[in-house]
Amino acid sequence: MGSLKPKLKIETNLSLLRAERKLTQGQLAEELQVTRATVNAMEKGDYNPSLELAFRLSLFFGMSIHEIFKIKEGDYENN
Amino acid sequence: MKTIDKFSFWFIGLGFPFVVIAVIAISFFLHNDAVDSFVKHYETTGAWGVLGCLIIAWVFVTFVFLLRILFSENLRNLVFKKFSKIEERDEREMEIAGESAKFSFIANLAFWFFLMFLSCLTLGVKKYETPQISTSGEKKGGTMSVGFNFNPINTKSFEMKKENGIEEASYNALPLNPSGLIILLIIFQIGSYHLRARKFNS
Repeated sequence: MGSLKPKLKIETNLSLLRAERKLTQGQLAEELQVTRATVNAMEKGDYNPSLELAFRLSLFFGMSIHEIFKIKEGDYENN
Repeated sequence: MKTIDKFSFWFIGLGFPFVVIAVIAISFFLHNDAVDSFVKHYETTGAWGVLGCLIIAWVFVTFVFLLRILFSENLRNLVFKKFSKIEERDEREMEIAGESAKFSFIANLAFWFFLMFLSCLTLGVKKYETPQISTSGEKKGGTMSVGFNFNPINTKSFEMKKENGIEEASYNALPLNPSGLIILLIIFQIGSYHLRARKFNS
């Protein structure tokens, strides 16, 4: 399950990938079977997706999860 | 969702404001001679009877509906959607619902403990027939005190007694009757949930 309060700062180029395919947030949300607000939250870094959602993104864009998401260098909280 | 559940839900929802107004109106005008004579003169007794039956039917349907919520997951989800305005369409919304419910649970628990503490406070007022001299040498006609009294089986919230020239009154309860208290708790529960959920949706 994803996290509403990300402990790891994860960067994503999701908005760029979406724009390259000329998709709106709503359209991408429909493809991924999530809400538009969830897509928006992921792009802003306010929400880390669950493993299942990350794999769905990976399959949709035809890229590995690491190409879509990466941990921000030197800037994550230890808990 | 079953038709009977849909009907019950809408019957309860639409009937709620009317029932509240009717109950307030009935309690306000009860034993009012002018209203009694109006009802008898214009032969509206039948209408009052119908209104009473509708209120009883509403109470019965609500009671059955609340019992069914305990045993039906579909019904619980429907009621939850209506009250929380969150549909749990995806994982993120499910997490929001969970976080908000957790916050509301803890907030309500804290509020209950606070109310329990308040309910134990006792306000006492004494009035002396003959002014008495205090330890500081002043003449006092009475005293006021705030104390702590935990007695869950005592149903009397207000007591008054007079003996040996001293009138004493004590009040030990919340300044709300049970209905008012329940309404306050319902508002607090729903409000605390929405307050937390809004944070994630802003």
